[in-house]
Amino acid sequence: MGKRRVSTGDHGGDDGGHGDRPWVYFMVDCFMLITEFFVLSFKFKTEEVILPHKLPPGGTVPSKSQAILEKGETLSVYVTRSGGQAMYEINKQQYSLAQLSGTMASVVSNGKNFTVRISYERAVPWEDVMAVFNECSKVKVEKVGLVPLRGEPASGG
Amino acid sequence: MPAKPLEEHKTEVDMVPYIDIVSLLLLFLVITGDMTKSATGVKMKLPRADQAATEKKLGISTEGRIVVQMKPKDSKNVDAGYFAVVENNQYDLVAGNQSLVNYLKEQVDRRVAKGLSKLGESGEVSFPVKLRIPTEAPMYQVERVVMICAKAGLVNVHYAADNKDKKD
Repeated sequence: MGKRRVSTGDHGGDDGGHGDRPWVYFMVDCFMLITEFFVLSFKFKTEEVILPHKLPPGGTVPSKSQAILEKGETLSVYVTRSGGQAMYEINKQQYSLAQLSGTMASVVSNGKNFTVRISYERAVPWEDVMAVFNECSKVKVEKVGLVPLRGEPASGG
Repeated sequence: MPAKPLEEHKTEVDMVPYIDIVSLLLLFLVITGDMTKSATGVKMKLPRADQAATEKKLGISTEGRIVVQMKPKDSKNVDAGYFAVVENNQYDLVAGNQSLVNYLKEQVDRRVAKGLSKLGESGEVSFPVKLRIPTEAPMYQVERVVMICAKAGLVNVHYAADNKDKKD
C-alpha cells in the first residue's frame, strides 16, 4: 500500500508533488506503455507436440536406396476423399477413419517389423494422411513413408 | 511553535512500490511470454493427432533439429502454392527445388561436421527434421517438402501436430 508523504516544501511548491522531478511522470508513462504492450501481446510459451516417424528406404527416400528392401512386412494404405470424408483403402477394402484404427491393429501384428506406405489422391488434405501416421503411432509402427504421385519427379533423381 | 497553515501540507502518491510491482509484472511477462518467432513463426492450423506428445514426454532429442515450415502463398486458395520456410529463408515450394535441397544439405553437412551424426549408407542422418504442415495443405504439395527432406538425407521426421483435447 502506498504511503502518503507529507511534502516539506523541498520538492516544489504549488504544483503538487515531484516539483523538481518532472521526469518521474515521463518515466511512469513509459513504464505504463511498456507494461501495456507486454500485457496486450502476451502469449504463454507452449510446447508444440509432434509425431515422430522415420521415412523407410524406398517410398520417399532417394531412389538409389530402393534396393535396400525391408526385411519385415509392408502395408499399403491408399487415401482418398469421398463425399467430403476421408476413405482409407487397405487390401482392396475401404474403411472410414473410425474403422481405420481397428483395421490397423488387426493387420499389424508387430509394429517394429512393419513398414507402412501411404499413397493418396493428389488433392487429399494433409490431415487425412496425418490420421494414418497417428494410427501407425498407436500400433507402434515407426517407419511410415509416402509413395510419390505419378508425374512428380523422384526425390533421388 | 506555531502550526503550519493547512494548504502547505500537500500529499503525493509514493511511486516506489508502484514501480516495484510493475517491474515484477514486466519480469513475469517477459519470462513466461513467447516472443520467439523461429520455431513457430508461421501461424497455421495443425492436424489433430491424439498420439502426438512433446519431445520431453517422448524422450526424443532435438539436438541439431532443422525446422521446415509450409507457408501458403494465398491463405484462401490452397492450390496457389506454398513456400518452404527454413530458419529465416523462404523458398518457393516446387518439386525438387534445388536451392532448398542445397540449403538443407549445407545445414546437414555443418551438423555432420560438428559430430551430431554420421552419414548413413544412403546419405541419411540421424538428427531430426520437424515439419510444420498446415492441415488443409494438399498432398501433392506436402510430398514435395517430404521428398526434398529425404533427398537431403533427413529421414527422421517429426510431424508437428495438435492434441489440445489430450491432457499431457
